Parts: sequence; C-alpha cells; structure tokens
Amino acid sequence: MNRLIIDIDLPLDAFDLQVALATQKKVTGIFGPSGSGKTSLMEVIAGLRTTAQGKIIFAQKYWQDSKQKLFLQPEKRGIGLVPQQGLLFPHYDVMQNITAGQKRYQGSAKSYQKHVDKVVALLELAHLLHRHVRMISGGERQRIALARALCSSPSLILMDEPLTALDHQLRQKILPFLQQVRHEFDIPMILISHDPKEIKTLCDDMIVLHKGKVTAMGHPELVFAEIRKNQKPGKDVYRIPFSVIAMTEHGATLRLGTPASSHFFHTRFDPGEMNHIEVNTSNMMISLVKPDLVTGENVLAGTVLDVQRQTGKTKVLVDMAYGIEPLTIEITIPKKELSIGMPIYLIVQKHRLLYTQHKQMQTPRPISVQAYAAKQF
Amino acid sequence: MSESLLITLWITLKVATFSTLLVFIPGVLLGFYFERTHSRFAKFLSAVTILPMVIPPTAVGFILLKLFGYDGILGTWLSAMDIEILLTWKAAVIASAVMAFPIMVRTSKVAFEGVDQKLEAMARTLGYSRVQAFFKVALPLAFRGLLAAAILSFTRAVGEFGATVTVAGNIYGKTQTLSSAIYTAEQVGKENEAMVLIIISLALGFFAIFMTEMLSKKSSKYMRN
Repeated sequence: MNRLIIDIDLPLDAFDLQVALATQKKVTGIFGPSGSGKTSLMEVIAGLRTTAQGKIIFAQKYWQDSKQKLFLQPEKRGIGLVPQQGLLFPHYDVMQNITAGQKRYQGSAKSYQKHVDKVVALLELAHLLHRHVRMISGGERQRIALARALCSSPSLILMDEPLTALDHQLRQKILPFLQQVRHEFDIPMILISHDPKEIKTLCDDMIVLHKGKVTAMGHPELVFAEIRKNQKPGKDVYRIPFSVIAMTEHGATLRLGTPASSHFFHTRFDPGEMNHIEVNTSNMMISLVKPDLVTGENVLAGTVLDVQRQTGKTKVLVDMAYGIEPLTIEITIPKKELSIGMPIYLIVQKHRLLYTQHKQMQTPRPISVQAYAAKQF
Repeated sequence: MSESLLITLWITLKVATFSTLLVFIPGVLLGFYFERTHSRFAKFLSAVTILPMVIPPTAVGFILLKLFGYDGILGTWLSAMDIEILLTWKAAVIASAVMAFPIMVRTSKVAFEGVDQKLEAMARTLGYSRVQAFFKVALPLAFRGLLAAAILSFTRAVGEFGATVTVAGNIYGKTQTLSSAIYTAEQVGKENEAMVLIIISLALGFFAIFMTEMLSKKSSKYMRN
C-alpha cells in the first residue's frame, strides 16, 4: 500500500490544527467529535486549504512542502472525495455525475466504460443512471458520490462522514456497500467519522483528533479499548427516559421524562423497543428563544439553574425537568443575557440523538438547585 | 407605427444590445471575482465599478466627453486611427455600457452567490483546473442569474439618458433613443407622440422585468442541493 505522510499546521478559528501522521494501511479512520478539525484535515489533504503549512507526501510524491514552496493543485493529486452531503452536481444527471472525473482516466474509453459498469453494478445504481440528481434520496446520493469518486481514477479516496447525513436504518444499508468497495478496489482510503462502529467495521488504522491534535493512534480495537478505559462514565452524555404517546405514519410523539411530564418530542423515527434518548451535551447548541423549527424534533426545553463564567468558556447548568440530573453544558461563546431561572432551548442535531433501551425508567428525584450547583461546579 | 418611431426604436435596441454585449463578459468575470475574493483590493475595485450608479449620469457623460474628446486620452488615440466616437451611436453604446456596468456586475455577483463554492472545490478534486471548474460548474449553475443580469443591463441601457445625451447628443435618426425622443417630444409639445413612446418603453421594461422574475424563480431549482 502507498504510504501517506502528513505533517501540517493550519490555524483555525478556535484552535490550530496540528497533525503529524504516517499510515500505509488500506483504510485509515479519523475519529473525533464534531468541531475537532476532521473536515479541515481532509481539505488540507485534498489541497483545498492553501493556507496550511507543512508537508504531505503520498506514494513518495510530494503533494505539499511549504519549505520548498511546493503545492500540488487539488486537480493534480488524484483524489476521490466523498463529502458529507454528497455534493452532486445539480446540473448533471446521475450518469454525468458518476463520470465527471473521466478525464483523469488513462486507458481507453471502452475500458473506462467497463470500470463504470462495475462500479454501477457494485453500488446498485443501474436504475438511477438517467435520473436527475434532484430526484435522488439521501442514501442514493451518497452511493452516487462514492461512485463518482471511484470512477475518477483516484489514487486515494477521502470520505468525509459519508453516512452522517443518513438516518440509522439507511446507514445500516449503506455500510455494506462501503465494505464491498473496500474489498473490491485496491485504493487506500481515509474515512472521517464520529461513529465508532463505522471505524471498527471499515478501518485497519485510525487516529483520534481532538481540538486539532492527534490524541491517539493505532488499530481501531486497541484505540477504542483505550478510550473506554479513560472515559469517565456518563460525562457529557445524558439519558432521558421517554414513553411513546402516539404513533402515526409520519413518526412518533414521545413524552419526555415522568408520566406526568408535559414535555413532548416529535420524531420521524419509530422508537420500537427503545425507551431512552441519549444526548451528548458537547453536540448541543443553546438558544434563548424557542427555535423556529418546523417539527421541533430536536429541541429540548429547560431552565437555567446556574451560570458560571470562566475565561474562555461558560458552564451552564440546565434543569430539564425530565426526571434526569441537570445537564452541564459548556459554551465557548458567552451569552451575556444568560441568567438563572430563564427558559432555555437546547438544539440537538437529529443524527446525534441516540435511542437506547434500558430496563428501568429512572425515577425522578426532587432537585435542589443549590445542591446540584454545588455538586456540579 | 410611424417610420420615425421605428427608426428611434431600432437605434435604441441597437445601442442597448451592443452595450449589453460590451458589459456581459467583463461583468460576469468581475461579479465572480468580487463574490469569491474578499481582499481589500477587490473591495476597492468593486466600489469603483459601482460609481456610475451613484453619481449623476451627466457627470459620467462629462467624464466620457473628456476621455473621448479630441484632446482626451482615448480621443487622440482613436482619432489617430480615424475612429469617430462622439455624437455617433457608438458614443451612445459606450455611455449606456458604462451606466449598465454596475448592474451587470452586481447582479452577476448575486448569481454566483447562489452557487455552492464547495461544488467548485469538488470539481477541482475530480481533475478540473480552476478555470475549468469555473466554466463547467460555476457558470452553468449561475447561468439563469447571469441571463437576468444581462436583461437588467439591457433595460438600464434602454432607459439611459443623461450620460448618453451628453456624449452622443440627441440627433434624430442617428443617436436619438427612446428616452431622448420622449424628452424631445415633451419639449416640443407632441404629447401623443410622447405617449406612444412611453407605452413602448413600459412594454419593453415590463417584458424584461417579467423575464428576470421568471428566471430567478427557475434558478432556485438548483439551490436545493
């Protein structure tokens, strides 16, 4: 396998992205929470961030060497990029999208067609070829983006959270396609993901990125075992019990918290046997006004119990009244208006909601503001 | 329709068409440049191109007169090549082009704003150079908006009066356009003739704006990606 060596430095708004790594495994995962610099790193590798300093060497060829003022333009790097949102060309049909990178192919038109046919068959796209990309669903979109990358004669494939925009069920359907691609094509890949399952299924090497720095590196099994060992249980993650009130063809209405709670939550997802929602506070946004979302399916309401301002960050303690402990949320941009007792809305990205099953519903406990404030800070 | 009216209409359309052709390519390129570049130089240049929109058209006309006059920078050069500009339809083309240019640039910029820059980056990774990405991705996706920009520039050129009259005069059959003909008809008390000219201008203007509305509605179909 071709060796990829990266040693780069890129100042970002919140931190510096400083990554040094060398890998020659087939699929290398880049794992980390959102905002850790994963996508920026990918853009640096693809040559889309001209301000990055340092070195990138792939298959003994320099893609970038700032000291030598060497910078290979993105079109010369031979990269197959599969971005998060697919980024299909809206003015092309599916076939035109898939073959958009044909010009890089060295062989005859006939052998290219053979390659395209193989990719189309593998990703089950034959019935879509002449459709307009506007008529394409999310799962198909990602498969087309993957096909386009594979049909551009890439020497390295970069996948930026290719499954993130999809719901859980669809993700389970697409994952086997990625495994197929991994198996069928001898092309090294880099997969960005925040989903351990994806990384474990596809990657044979990984790095963990946190605030722009590599914090762990190695085989996924080993790295995740290490992460589990070091993780304080329950930090940042909160489980909210719910019961299903109504099911319609459009989804379900859930009652969050105790049976007497008046907090409702709408979801397009059939919760099935699940009875808890897991939310991670590091993925939340705070709003002081009720966000004007169509369905409100990712807004949680609470009340501010305490605000503690520290240099560079603010800790907010929020009472959710769902029969769970108050949430502690760290925000980096201080909101001056935040005050104790005010209503607050927490926005969770839909795909960050995890539905889980636990035997017992947590019994709600009376909450003493002072006691919790003292405990939390 | 009287013959004189047809002549005026012909000159108006000729002038507006040529000035639109003149501003189209530089307008599109600058619109793209201003949308994608945020340097101080770009901002400065952008301000300069907007100037004709915010200063009196007669002032623009006067500046052009100085430039193209016999002792002007361009005038001496052109007269050496035996090219007459002032008081010809070419002067009207130049004047209305200068006045339409800000609209062309601004509207093109807006058209490119609607094109996701990431799509161009995507094209780059697929082997397209910067220039190829512009022609294969940015341009086709902004096309409707750019067409609207051209139509708006055309209407601006049709309606141009102040700058045109200063450099091209108001010579019937030669440089008289719809707007200067309306002015003349009004001055000599030919109200009926003025009325006919106004109705023609209204029809032209309405058609143009209606077209741009249709274009902007259709251009939104690409915005969903």
